[in-house]
Amino acid sequence: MKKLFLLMVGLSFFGLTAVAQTIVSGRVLDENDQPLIGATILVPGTTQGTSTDADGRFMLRTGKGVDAVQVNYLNYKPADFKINASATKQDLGTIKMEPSAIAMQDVVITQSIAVQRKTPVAVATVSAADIEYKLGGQEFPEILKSTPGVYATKDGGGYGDSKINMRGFKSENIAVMVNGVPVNEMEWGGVYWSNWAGLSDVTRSMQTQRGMGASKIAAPSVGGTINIVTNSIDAKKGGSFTYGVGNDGLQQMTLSLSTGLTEKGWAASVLLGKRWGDGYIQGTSFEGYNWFVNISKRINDHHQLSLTAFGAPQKHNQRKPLYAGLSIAEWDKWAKTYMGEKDMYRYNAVYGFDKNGQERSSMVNQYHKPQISLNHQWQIDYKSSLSTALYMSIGRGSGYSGQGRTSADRNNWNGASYGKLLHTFRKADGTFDYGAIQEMNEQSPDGSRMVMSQSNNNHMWYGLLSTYTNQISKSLELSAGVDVRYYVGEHNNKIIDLYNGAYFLDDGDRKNVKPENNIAAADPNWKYEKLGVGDKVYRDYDGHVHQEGLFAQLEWTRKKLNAFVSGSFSNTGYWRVDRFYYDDAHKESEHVNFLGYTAKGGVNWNFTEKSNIFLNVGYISRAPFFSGGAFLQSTTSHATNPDAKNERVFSIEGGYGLRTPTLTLNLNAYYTLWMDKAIVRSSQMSNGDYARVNMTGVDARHMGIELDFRYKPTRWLNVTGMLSVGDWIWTSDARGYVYDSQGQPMTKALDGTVASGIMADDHMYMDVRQKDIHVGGSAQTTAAIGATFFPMKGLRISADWNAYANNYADFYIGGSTSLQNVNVNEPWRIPWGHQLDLSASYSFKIGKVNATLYGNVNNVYNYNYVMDAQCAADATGWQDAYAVMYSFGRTYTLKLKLRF
Amino acid sequence: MKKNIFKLLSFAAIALLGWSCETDYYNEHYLDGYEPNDEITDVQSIEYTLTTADYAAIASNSTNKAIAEAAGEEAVEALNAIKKNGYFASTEEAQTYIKAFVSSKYDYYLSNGSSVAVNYAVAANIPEELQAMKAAADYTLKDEAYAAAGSKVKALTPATIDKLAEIVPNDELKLEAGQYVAVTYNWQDGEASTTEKTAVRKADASNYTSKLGSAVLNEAVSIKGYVSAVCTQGIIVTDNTGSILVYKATGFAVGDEVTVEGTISSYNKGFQLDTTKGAVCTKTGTKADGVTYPTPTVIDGAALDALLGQATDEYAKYVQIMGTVAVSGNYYNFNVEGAAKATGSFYGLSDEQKSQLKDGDKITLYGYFSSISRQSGEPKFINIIVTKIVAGTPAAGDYTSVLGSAKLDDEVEVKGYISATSTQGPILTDNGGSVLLYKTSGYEIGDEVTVKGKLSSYNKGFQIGTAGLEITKTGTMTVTYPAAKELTGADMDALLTSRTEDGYAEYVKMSGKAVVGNYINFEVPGASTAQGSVYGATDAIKAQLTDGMECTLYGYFVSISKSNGEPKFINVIVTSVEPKVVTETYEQRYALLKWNGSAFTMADVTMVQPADYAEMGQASGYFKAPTQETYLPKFLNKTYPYALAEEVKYVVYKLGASDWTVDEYTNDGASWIKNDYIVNENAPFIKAGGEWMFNPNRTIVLNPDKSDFSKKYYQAVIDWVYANKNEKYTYDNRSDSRITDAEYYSGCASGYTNLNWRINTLPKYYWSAAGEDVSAYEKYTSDDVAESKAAYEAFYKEAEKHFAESMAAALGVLHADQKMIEGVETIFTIQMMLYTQHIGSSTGRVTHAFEFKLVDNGKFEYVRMYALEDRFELMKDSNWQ
Repeated sequence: MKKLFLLMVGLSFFGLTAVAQTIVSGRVLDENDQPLIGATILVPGTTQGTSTDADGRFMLRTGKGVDAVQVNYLNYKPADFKINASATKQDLGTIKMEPSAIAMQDVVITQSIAVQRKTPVAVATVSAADIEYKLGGQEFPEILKSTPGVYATKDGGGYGDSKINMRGFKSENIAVMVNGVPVNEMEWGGVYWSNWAGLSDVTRSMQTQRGMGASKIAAPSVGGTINIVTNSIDAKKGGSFTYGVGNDGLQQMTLSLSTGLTEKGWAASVLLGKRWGDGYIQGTSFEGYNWFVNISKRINDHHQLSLTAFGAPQKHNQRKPLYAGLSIAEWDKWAKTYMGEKDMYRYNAVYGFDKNGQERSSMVNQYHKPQISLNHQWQIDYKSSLSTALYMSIGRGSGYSGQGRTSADRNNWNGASYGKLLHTFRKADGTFDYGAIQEMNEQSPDGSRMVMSQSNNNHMWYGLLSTYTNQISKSLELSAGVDVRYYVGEHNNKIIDLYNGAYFLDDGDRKNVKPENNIAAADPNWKYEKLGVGDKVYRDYDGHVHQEGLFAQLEWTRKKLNAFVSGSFSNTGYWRVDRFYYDDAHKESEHVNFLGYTAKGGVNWNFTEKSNIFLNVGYISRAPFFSGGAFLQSTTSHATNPDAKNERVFSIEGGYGLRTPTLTLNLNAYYTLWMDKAIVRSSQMSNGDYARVNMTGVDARHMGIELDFRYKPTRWLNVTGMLSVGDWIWTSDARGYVYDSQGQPMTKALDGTVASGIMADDHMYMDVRQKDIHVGGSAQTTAAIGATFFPMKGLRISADWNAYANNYADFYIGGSTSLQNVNVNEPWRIPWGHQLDLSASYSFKIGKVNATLYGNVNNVYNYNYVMDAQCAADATGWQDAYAVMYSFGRTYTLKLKLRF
Repeated sequence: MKKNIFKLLSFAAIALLGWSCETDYYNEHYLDGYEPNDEITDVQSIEYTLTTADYAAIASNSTNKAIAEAAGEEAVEALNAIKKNGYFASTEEAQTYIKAFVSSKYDYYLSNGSSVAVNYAVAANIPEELQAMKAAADYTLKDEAYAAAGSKVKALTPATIDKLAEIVPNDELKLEAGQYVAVTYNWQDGEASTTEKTAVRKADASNYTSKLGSAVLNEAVSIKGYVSAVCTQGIIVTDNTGSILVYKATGFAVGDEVTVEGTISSYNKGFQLDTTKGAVCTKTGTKADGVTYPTPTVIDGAALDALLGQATDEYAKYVQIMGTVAVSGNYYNFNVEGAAKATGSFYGLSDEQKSQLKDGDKITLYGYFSSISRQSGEPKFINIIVTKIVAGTPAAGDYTSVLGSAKLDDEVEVKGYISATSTQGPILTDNGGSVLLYKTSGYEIGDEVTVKGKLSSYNKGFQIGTAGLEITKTGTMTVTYPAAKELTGADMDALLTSRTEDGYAEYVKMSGKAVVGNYINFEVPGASTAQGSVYGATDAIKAQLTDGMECTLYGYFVSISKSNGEPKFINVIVTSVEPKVVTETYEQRYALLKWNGSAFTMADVTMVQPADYAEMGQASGYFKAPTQETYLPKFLNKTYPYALAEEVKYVVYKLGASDWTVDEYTNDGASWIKNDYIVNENAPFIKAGGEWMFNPNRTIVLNPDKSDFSKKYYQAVIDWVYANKNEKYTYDNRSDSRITDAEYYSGCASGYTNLNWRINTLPKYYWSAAGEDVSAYEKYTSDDVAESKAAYEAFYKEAEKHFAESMAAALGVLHADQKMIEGVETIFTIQMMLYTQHIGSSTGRVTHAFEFKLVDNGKFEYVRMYALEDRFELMKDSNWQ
């Protein structure tokens, strides 16, 4: 390995001899004289090329003897230009592209991609080249950290364990789409980024649309939308190989091969990658793979088929903030004692060894979620087309979940509890003493006290997304389509390690099984069944979700004006099948259905050639989720929430854009109201029935302004910057009244006593008092400034500085089963933090092979600042914060990419 | 150039905008009141019960050892006894030694003010006799001692067992009067034989582990077994369940008993224990009965090829392969006919072994198949560590397969070999079968012959007579016999009637007794009519058989002769005689003896004997605490099925490999109850000034965490209220049911683990129902602040009274053993979460403390309550502002 590294360093010096011959420049515009951003300029038959900037301008240094270039852009006819091979400079002037009568480039469901100066939304795009250049050892979502409105952190610090918030909204309120296909989990709406950790290698572009965005289908785009577009048919013939190393044993290897488009209309590309290492955080070794296959066939000028499949199987050890994160005082006391001051924040409270000295972890995550989609593009005539994606996703994986006879035993698997380091199974050197668990179990006369289970969460997801587009007139375009999904999530916990005990009794969970639901529980001995490896504990159920949606959009374009209205309507249905708390006769729950809809509209006016303004407004009524919405206790009970409510979001946003040859600038302001956020609580009453509260009127207001710019005063310097200032607060106190399962009002006795009337004096209620409290969990102010230098041919060096402020500790008011009032204090405002990252790349040739050497150093000054923290509702300051996660210190990567 | 410098400078300037930071810079700079090295306090109140392992830890704690050493030899012994006994001998001892344990376990993270209440066991009143038994010495009778008892073997027998007490030498043991010794001796169930016999101790086999074959990759194992093969690359170690290569273990011989400690690794599809990677192999003895190999798996060419496909790592397997030696330089391989791809390889062949092999030798080898090596990346060599090489193989291809299929009166031409000889003629064998060459003579076993003759029959057996016989010797070979078919007595009886057709000679074995007269017959147990007959016994065979000798015969069953007209004799041409090996088996037994000053006497105790451990599933031959608690009552029930109530038995057993101990059990009429003389006591320690000290005062923190610990206290109050107070306090009229996890007399809720003092609940629904006058609390909602305040105050006062009464009683139940200490005031402080209208339920932490004073053994009296923080003060003004 060391040799290879030396070779890479050596190679980088050979490349210095590559010399450019001709500089070709120009500006590319569309049929409306708007600049085309990202159009490619290629030397035919070579891999030399560049793309246009935000102003449509480009400059290409060609190799010796080049006499022609070709300009390409999606849905436009390629344009060829002769150039004088002997000239040193050649300006092609303004190039106006003609739309292709039949656009047949690619079968990507691009319906959700926004276009600058056309789609009236706030948008930021990161290109594949930038991802490759700046990602380094960062988590995939972190590539967006310098875009406005985004707060991305490493969460606990394990591989793939990252967290992204947009405009203060969490994962379940951010729509994530890969090639136009929604990937938010069907049961709770969020995204596990570890499922997609390897996707960075095949991403062609990553776009964030903040706010409601341009997505036409029903998607949870409250905070924003992240659109990831992967490679496809436009990959050129050839391939690449990448090898990289980094801090803490990080290694990565990627091989990609592509046939290009053959004469018979076939194209195929394959990518295989692997990334592994020990992890920056103690005991978080990981191994991730990444595979991607695309086969496309252009059947004729009207039909094209493309099959894309990709997946990123990974296994990694974690450090979950809530169960291994400490309070500030505990970091200072224990982490410093165990790790020394320099490495204290790398401490992982669940890292440890067993009796035989083997490393163990109680937090291991493994997942593989291949997504396969078959896309069909049918160009019906030059006015209309139908694009259809038939897709499936196969989720297979699990996280470790320590089980125990009692709740105390279960908690003992954790490294920390509410920020406090747990010492029950800890050695004096700070490592977790898994051997002591083994010894305890060995001595136990009634089987293991604590065992490890794998919490399996598998799923099968099938979907169909079809969009019909018709250019009704020159200025009016209609798109409409259907969006149908069916999803089955299989959830169970399987014992994988008895930790040296003879067997395990799951009486702690089985005692909650009611004989009327599961006849097995009628036998008093059933709960004492001796269980072994492979047996299921705690839960075993399937969540079924289906969704049927219709959507339509009308878009009207006049030379300088573009407007749209769109709407969607969908039905979401849920049921569950339980094999643990219910027997065969009772296994299926009732089916519940919810209707949801969205309505959006917007207008963009390019009032000068340089300036545009836009305005959009939208309304979403979103169906409750499977967990915490439709079902009261979705893991263990069929009990449904009889008056589950849709959450509603209203948003209005306006913006201004400026494009000059040297400066690109976007400024926008937004105002979003999030209404009737679901807070559902239920609790068992003394008469055995469930009491429940459905909070209504839990409202939040998120508003703010966002600015980003790119300034290019000279050819060798490019300055970018961003500032977003948010003001996100809860705007209401909420009150929820307590009802039983029959809908009868309950008194405070919580024993089934019916109150004298609904909302009568004796009708019990719970209050959540959080008016004017800041929304936690995400920095409300973020800023970035960066500069990229191009000191010489092939070399580029960048420095990027990011800062985060007004970040409030996260607090939870939902979830608990207590029906008590909650008085929320203003959460701890985490002090501001910032870090400087350096990137550099150098491109050169080794024979005919193009090589690029990349180097990244993140957090150059090794500055540890708090990125995430949580606190209880009544916390008063940093002393009360737990799960405090500090930023990583300095990390680095170096990689070489060869293109052939 | 200038421009480039400028660019780099601007870049450097931006880079320097940042600043270098110490890890603590951020915390110190931004967190108000943050002190980087400030001692953060972690005050906890823990109740801890010592486990078996903890008693061991206490005994081996270095601080405790120092204390004991300073106190003298007796104290050292007493400290060691704590580990064995799992209890302390006295309260003082416990308080002396637990302190260091608490310090080692909690000192590094609990701060001053923490308390740890340790529950421990004390056995203070153990009868002296029992104590003396518990302290019994350990002694194993020496081999020479048995002769003194008049035994002819190295064991005691029913006739000599009474002498046991006489032959235990106290001059060696040096016991004082009243002391006990546990003696291990050999026992033979039956009187000794006069002949010299091989002695095998039963215990040997059970001493080996049963780990190989099942231990998985990377498992750390400790193997006890024996060496079954050696080669230059290491040894094969076998235990009861499997065999494994111990790589690079040298200096061992077949038959050595060894222990191997290491981690199972794999190499070339074979598991191994690698001494170059930390595995340690130690010789512990020699296998007394020698090494016997299991029946090998016969590997032919096809099977050899099939082995190449082995996908997983395997343990070493004992195999038999026939092949041709192929020597190339220093490489010794062997080719097996029919193998297309695989080649056999001698693994780690010694120079001596090599010198005996020549290229082209036909051999049959026996040994352990241990791994598969590759050639050019493909699996090719099947590596065998040989235990035995036999020269010569029946070159199967050279012989005909005529015999076995030819019919009566067929003229046959056979190429085969002589596999047995008798005075009646030899046995001719080819690849198809065997037949008697009646009355032919002059051939030896191993002669290769071609035979032309006619198949005739005699007494249900085929034979080839001398008439027209043409026979030519063509060479010699080594005969390997097929697996002999066992003929039992019943089989032989059955043959007499079932054999209706003529048959070919069949290789068989019979076990029984030789009857030597004019003929040599053979009695097989179980046969009622049939008898074996050694047909045409050669002088060599005759010399091996004596009348009445018990043995096993191997040979070719050729025909059945009649006696008095009825089929009776199973005629066998014998090839070998295997005398019956009589093994004498001793087993180990235990006895407890007491020295009375001049002689030993057998103690009247119940010994758990080695066989008993096995029967109870304790394969190790001893109990590992606390398993004896489960088994001994059952063992006694089985041993004394007619025991009467109040009968007392002392059970002596091994606890761990070398420790003897004894328990006293009394029968209660149905089962046996241990009299452990053990009292559970509690020693509270608190940390102050960095030191742990014994302190009877306790702070019991009942976190609202729904933990079992907190629930225990709440539940005790609930149970007390239910038992002693009006049922309305724990009864719900509306659901017509009893509330089991809460009581509303004082407000204890075990479900939430908090104390519920809500004015709108307790008086209104429960106190009034129980007949209390609640009028004083009714105006709590009044707009008149004074009125409202008065209602609250009155309610809280009453609630406090209720709680004081119930918790004091509950503490009396939970801490019934708490003893008054002369001159020391003992205060129990209970910290709880109080839930009131004003405090709310969301604090999630303890808010108040309640003090109770110990006024008599196990009796408490309420002292006072106070809020732990100002904001939790019940009557603070801000509640009414």
